[in-house]
Amino acid sequence: MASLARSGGFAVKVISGSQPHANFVAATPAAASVVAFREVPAEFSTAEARQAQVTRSTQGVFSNGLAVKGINVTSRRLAHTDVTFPDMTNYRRDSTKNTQAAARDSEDQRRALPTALYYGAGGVLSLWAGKEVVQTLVYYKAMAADQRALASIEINMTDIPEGQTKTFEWRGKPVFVKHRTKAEIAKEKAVTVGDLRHPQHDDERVQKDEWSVVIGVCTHLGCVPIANAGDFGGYYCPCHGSHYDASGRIRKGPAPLNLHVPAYSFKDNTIVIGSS
Amino acid sequence: MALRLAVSSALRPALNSQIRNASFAASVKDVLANAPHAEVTTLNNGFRVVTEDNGTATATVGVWIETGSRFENEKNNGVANFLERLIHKGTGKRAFAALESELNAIGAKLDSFTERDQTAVFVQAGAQDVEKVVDILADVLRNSKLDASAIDTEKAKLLKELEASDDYHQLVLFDMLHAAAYQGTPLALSVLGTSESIPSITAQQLKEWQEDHYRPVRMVLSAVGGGVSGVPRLAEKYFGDLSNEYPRKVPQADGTRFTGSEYRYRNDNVPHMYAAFAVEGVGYAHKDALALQIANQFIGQWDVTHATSRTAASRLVQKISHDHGLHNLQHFNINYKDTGLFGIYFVADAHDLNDTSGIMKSVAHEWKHLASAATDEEVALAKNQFRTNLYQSLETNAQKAGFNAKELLYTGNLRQLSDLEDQIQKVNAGVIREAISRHVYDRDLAAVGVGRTEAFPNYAHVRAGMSWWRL
Repeated sequence: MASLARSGGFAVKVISGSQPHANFVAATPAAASVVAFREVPAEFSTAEARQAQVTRSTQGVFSNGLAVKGINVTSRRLAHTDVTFPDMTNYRRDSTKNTQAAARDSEDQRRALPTALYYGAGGVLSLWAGKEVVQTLVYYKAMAADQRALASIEINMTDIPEGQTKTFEWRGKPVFVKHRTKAEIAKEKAVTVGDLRHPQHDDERVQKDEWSVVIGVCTHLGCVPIANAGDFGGYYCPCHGSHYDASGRIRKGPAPLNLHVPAYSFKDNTIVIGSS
Repeated sequence: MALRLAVSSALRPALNSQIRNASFAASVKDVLANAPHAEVTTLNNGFRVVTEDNGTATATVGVWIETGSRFENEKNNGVANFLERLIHKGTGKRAFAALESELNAIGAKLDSFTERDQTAVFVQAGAQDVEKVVDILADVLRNSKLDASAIDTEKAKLLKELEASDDYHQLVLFDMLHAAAYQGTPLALSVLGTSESIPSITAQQLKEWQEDHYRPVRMVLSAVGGGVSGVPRLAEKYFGDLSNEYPRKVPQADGTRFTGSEYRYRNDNVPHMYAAFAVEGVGYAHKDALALQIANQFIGQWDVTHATSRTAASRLVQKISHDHGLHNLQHFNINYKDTGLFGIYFVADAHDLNDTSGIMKSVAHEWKHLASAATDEEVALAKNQFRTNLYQSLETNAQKAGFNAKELLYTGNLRQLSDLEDQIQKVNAGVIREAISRHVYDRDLAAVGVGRTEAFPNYAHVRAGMSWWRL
């Protein structure tokens, strides 16, 4: 491979001089003047001097026709190394003006704009595409709007006078909302937690002492208890005789657990069941 | 059971190849491990001597010098080549005729060449004449006569050769490639010089050039062949007193800036288009140098006289040896000390832009393939071809001496061939892909054309084809 670029190896080749153009030679009327040019190189040091010599030499044969002049011009042409590559400094970026620095070193900087464009515009596009994918998946897997509308119910607190319990339907199940009296509250707070089958203090089961909200499904076999009934002033399940107190805790009978408390919150004058 | 199967199938190839090697042939590595090793000796003045005694009947002894046209400027362009030519013209001790008859008497051949970054002067002779040869080498390098008449004669010859060189389109093309790719740096200069600079070179300039460059730390004496084991002692005798004093400033090769560019010399009297496209390669000691050399082999070379075309080993040749009006195609990888050129050279009819663009499209596609999808099978094939070419090119004493000297001048170290074989074995598809991605993929090109360049491929088009996509 090195021989491709090895100009010096040229020196050992047999050189027979440049090939004359046959048609031009045929048109040469004065061979003597052409022969004289063979000695020319030793006399010249600059391109100007050579050009001057060519011009002078052609004067004698000028009237004989353009073909002769053509020989002079082509045979005195510059060598390929005489053609200098134009200086492009004015067109260069500043980072490549230093001939000592490898082009590679300033490459990252010079490519900053395309890179920024690629990653900038590309980044924005891929972020958007990612968002689209996630959003589509979430919408697809999420609860339908008609179902979500039924997910929570609002209960007007003024509809339930103190001492009353009302039953509402929420997500297909009955919910008991009990507006407790002072006496009931005091009684439930005083219960010894340790004696209970499913030990939970009243404070754990209510958010406001006056209001007890429980799901009306017996934890035994799923019957619906009767409100304001039973031995403990709370709920009574007619199926197998489970007694719950005014906090919805199991006190007697076969049920293993207290009535479940749904997620609910107070908003102004309403209780919102299904949101916390 | 499954484990046994796995173990036995894993072992089988290893066992088989052991048996095969033992009974039929030793591996390349074993052969090279038993080959004569080169030894490096450094004299007190920094002059390095590398000898490799291989017991043959002839020997090549030569001096490789770190000089050349990349140390020149526009004013003295061609001086390195000029000085090297004068080395043949006699010394203070031996006139030209005496030098010639002395060499003739022992049947020796004095040869020399100058490149952009080195000059070599070497003698091929019988193994018994090694001392004589070292004596002559020291004489021609240290006592060149540089007399006025020889200089004038040589000047006229050099100018004639320069003029004649224009007919060697390949040479012109590669000079132009350097002029464009390394524009503004001394690497752009041709070894030949210009018709302005050669006549202006004086005896004084030649003498100063010799004093500045022919210093012991810039020279390597390389000897390969029979009877060369005594060369370090001879070197001490003939070169040991050479001093490292620089009378002027130390010559520096400055600037290796590569510029993506295009340079066309249209001449419709030339029957073909000669074209070269190259990216910046790597220096000889660069860690990717070997990978690029193997990648270079991957595409290889082809011309119309080859019998292979659709069945060629190279995918590229299979594709483009038909149509396109292609005559000759050669991939090249030139390594200088600190930079290089990696590219493709081709000669084509160039009747049609579709043909020339098609050639470059296929070449660029092959480069992109190497960068992203080269497989181990392909690389193994290219490696084997590379091995054959490389080791074959190091078979003669002269070639091996040049290799040893180049290793020392470029890297400061000498790789034995067995070390080189180790390195070749480690190259796999991953290494090739990485090296090509780093140096070739999506990089600027220097494009040059000579001859019928009317249908020269469009630069922007070729450049855009250097990556799979391009902003």
